Amino acid sequence: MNRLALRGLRERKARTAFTLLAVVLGVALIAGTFVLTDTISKSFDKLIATSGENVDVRVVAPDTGDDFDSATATFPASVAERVEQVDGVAAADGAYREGFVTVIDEAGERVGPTTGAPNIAFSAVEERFDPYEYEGRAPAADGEVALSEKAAQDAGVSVGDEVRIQGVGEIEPYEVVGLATFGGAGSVGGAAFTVLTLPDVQKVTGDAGKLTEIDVQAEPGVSQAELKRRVSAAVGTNVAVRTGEEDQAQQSQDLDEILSFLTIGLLVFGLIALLVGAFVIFNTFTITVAQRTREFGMLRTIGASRRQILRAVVLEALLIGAIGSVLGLLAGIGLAPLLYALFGAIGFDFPSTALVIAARTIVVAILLGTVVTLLSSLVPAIRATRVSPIEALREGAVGTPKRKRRWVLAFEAGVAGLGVALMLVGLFAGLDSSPALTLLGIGAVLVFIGVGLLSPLLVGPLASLIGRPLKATGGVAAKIATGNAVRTPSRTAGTAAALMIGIALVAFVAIFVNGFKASFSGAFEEAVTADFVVFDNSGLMPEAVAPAAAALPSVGTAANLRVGSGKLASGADVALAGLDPKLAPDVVKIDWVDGSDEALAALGPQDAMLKDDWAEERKLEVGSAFEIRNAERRPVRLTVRGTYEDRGQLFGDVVIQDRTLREQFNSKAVLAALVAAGPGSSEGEVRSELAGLLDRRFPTLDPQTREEFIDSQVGSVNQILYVFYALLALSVIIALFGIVNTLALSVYERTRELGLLRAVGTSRRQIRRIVRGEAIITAVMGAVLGVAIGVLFGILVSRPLESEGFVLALPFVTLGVLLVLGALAGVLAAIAPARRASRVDVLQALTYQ
Amino acid sequence: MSVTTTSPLIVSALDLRRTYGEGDAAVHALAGVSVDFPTGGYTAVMGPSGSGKSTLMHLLAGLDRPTSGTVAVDGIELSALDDSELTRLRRDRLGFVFQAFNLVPVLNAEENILLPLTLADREPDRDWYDELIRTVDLGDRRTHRPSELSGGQQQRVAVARALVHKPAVVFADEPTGNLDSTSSAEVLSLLRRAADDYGQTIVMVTHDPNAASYADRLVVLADGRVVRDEPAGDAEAVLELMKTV
Ligand SMILES: Nc1ncnc2c1ncn2[C@@H]1O[C@H](COP(=O)(O)OP(=O)(O)O)[C@@H](O)[C@H]1O
Ligand SMILES: [Mg+2]
Repeated sequence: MNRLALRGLRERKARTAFTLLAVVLGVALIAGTFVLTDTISKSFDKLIATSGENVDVRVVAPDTGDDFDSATATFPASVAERVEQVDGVAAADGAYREGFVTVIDEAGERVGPTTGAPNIAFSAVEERFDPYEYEGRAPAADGEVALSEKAAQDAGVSVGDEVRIQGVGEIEPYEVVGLATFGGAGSVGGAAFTVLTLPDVQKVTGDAGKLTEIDVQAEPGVSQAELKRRVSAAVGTNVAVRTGEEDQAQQSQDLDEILSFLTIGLLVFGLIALLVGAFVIFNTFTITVAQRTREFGMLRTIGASRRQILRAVVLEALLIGAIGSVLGLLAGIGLAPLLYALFGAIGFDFPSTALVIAARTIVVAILLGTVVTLLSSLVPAIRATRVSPIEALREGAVGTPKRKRRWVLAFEAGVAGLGVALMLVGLFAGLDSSPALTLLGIGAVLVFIGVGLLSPLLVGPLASLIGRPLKATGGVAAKIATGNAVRTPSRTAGTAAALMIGIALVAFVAIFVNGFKASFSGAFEEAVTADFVVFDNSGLMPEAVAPAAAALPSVGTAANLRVGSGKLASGADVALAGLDPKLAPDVVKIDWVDGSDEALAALGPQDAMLKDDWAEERKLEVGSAFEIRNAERRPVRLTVRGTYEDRGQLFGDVVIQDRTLREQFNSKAVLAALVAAGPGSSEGEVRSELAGLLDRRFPTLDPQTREEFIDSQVGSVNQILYVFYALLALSVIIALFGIVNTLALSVYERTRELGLLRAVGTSRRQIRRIVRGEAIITAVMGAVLGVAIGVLFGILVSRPLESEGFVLALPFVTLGVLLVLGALAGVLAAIAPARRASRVDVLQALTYQ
Repeated sequence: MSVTTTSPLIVSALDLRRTYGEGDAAVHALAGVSVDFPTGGYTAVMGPSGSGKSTLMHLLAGLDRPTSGTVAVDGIELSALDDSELTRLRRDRLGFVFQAFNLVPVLNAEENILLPLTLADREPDRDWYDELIRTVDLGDRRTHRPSELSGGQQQRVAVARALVHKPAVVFADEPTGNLDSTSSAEVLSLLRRAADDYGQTIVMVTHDPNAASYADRLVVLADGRVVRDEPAGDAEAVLELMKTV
């Protein structure tokens, strides 16, 4: 019996190959993800270790390492002097790391990524602490700069050139004295870096006299722990002290946290691909079991037990699963460098080491692939055991569909219903995000399975609907194609269901992103009344833009929109926005719940406006007082003067005075400058004056009208959309293989019929058209179901987001395109099987029994 | 009706040989067969199993190519035709009835009958079609799928399909091989009527003497050669004849 299973595999090489592919692709993505992220993590760990080689103790600000867009956590430079005095310190060097700058070349163009990734400023430190390698040298005097190699090369800047650097203040010229690399990489994860002297970094970040870190080396014989104890005693509690080891562990933990998003994100797509693969495998096994009914019946007649039949089928699945998983693992290992290169190509350079292939990667990949294959083949395998000996003798077509029992239908509907229910719980039960997302995911999978199981019922109606336009042009070929599609509804439905999953997710993502775009533009249009927006895609920008713009004759009002962050006593982050009370009413229109533009105009330095639901959650109302801590952990006391709705998430949780945010929360840079035209000045006048100003003083910035700004923001979301599409494409490809597989098996099964058609005068082209028609019907059916489910998911998921200003906007064009793509997918999948069918040898087909 | 040499030939085969395999393993399915079929004749081809009946029919119908020898149908030399020309010839000029699996399962009876015309994108001759339907006697089963028809009904549909485009010749390979005697009789008389009423040329392979007795002419094959070619008698005469070969 075992030999039977092996023979089955060998004899149907094409089918085996395509079934294998269904396993291979999913497993490859999963294995590739692990290999990629393990490798990135390992190489960063190595970098962290070498760059911190001489750091035995590191003094950092208490809230270091949280997020990029809030103010950098700092402490006074005087701390460094105290550290130097500590007994056992061989060397201590204060550093300022992770400020933001814009570097501008002679042509006025930005040096560094244009993708929105930041350019991060670091202070040069003593050589023993310096993590960089330089071509040239590190900046030694004020006015000198070392640029990250990739950014400099991309911009054509070399050592000896002059660049200008824009920080929070005025732009100043610098001389390039070195090109820096970090662990061999000319950028870090796509970001550029810029090394300046400590005073220069403090100047461009507006943090004079502040440090973010102190690197400390111990004298020989002093342990890290001992040094930490001594330094801690000297510096007090307003800073944190870590040993070098602790610091490296912390850094690598922070990094792994960031990487885990990438890992989980990619794994999700791997699992989706595997789910699609499971449909394909299930379908293939169902078909082959049906085709082998006579063979199984014959085996039963001559005395094979049910168990032996089961074993033969399961063994076949096991082999496919195991071989597919191993191939998938290998493909994943091959895929990782490609992903690496891909990230590099879109600007995300990672330092590289040899690929890391962890035992976990191997175990998970092989186990997952094998188990999924086995599970997918279980139902067909059990069905094979039900074949009775008589079937060997029965004439006529095998696998004629039986009407499903009522309880079976009820069960299938139950699966889909349970899926929707789980999604609803995930969406509305107010759970934490990770259990909620898990429920949402499981719910979605159940919906797919349930709809997949139920979809044979839809095959008849859908096929005749889809077949109608085909018939209008394709005549009898289309009629036969439609008939073939409907003939074994479960086969067509199963094949379509695999495609349905990918299409549904593509549709969902498209709907979601479209909704986001619509919501953002709607909310922005409502909340911002300014005519022009000046905004830096790479991060924050200088606060001097607005005052300079305000001085232009054609400008009425120009105001900064400053952002920052603080913490509540509970440790929760608070998003802060700063507005100038006198100017704000001219450029923004806040949607007051309990408040007014007059109250905003009267906002004092210790006053705040709160986002309505945020205030409600904390039981704050107009008149109440509360505290927010700044980065130095100093509490800032504020009194509530009003509450607002903020559907566009533009003003954060708390609006305070621009000055308060600048001075108390150390936010030296601003998010945007909002510019309103003066009475009587035209848009053209404002634009040309503003553009002239920016060209002179802030050459990397450009004025955008409100509409241009919305368009560019919405446009940048498309990049994310394309990444999602690319990852989902894999699932669609697997589903295509599924269609090819089903068609090939059907063609094989219908050899006779095709021979007959050829004998009575059907041309090869007509035969091809028949097969293609069936493929198109199957694929379009998958696309129709997919779009329907995608819309359902879109509606479900958008409900709880509506309170946050999300509006559901269906992208009809995209959804229509998906249906057309479905049809094209069918055409593509049909090429090989159709050719095969058209080459059926008439005689052989007619004479073979 | 008897065979008259004055009728124009619709199918003629000259020294047909068909060899399967090579060397010692070579099987000479046909070892030099020359046979002509004049317009309007109804010929039965008989012979023991393996004598080359099906092979002959396949060669005559252009479904297979001879190892040597020539076939001309309706004045056209088949060896000169490529695949698509052969396809068109079968579609437009030939009709087929096989032993089993004659019909396209997803098309109903009527659609199956009209298949050769729809393939060619031609409109059926309504009168002819109505007459065929009447002759085939399907009654209310015209819109039924093959799986809903009895074996006899299926073969009658197949015969109607073979006739619908008024082909030059109908080839039937054991059309009653799978049928009981009643259904066989229905199918055979249908073929007979086609010959009588419409002057249809028919070549029918069979091993059933009773079936052969419906024909005008009997060609008997043995070991890949024609051993008898004479007017067909009644069933008993055919049976007697077969005993002698
Ligand atoms: N494709 C083939 N390959 C090898 N031998 C064949 C093939 N088709 C037929 N034959 C042989 O040719 C001979 C004639 O076959 P056939 O014409 O089918 O006989 P009949 O129809 O009279 O029973 C038989 O010996 C058969 O085994
Ligand atoms: Mg035969």
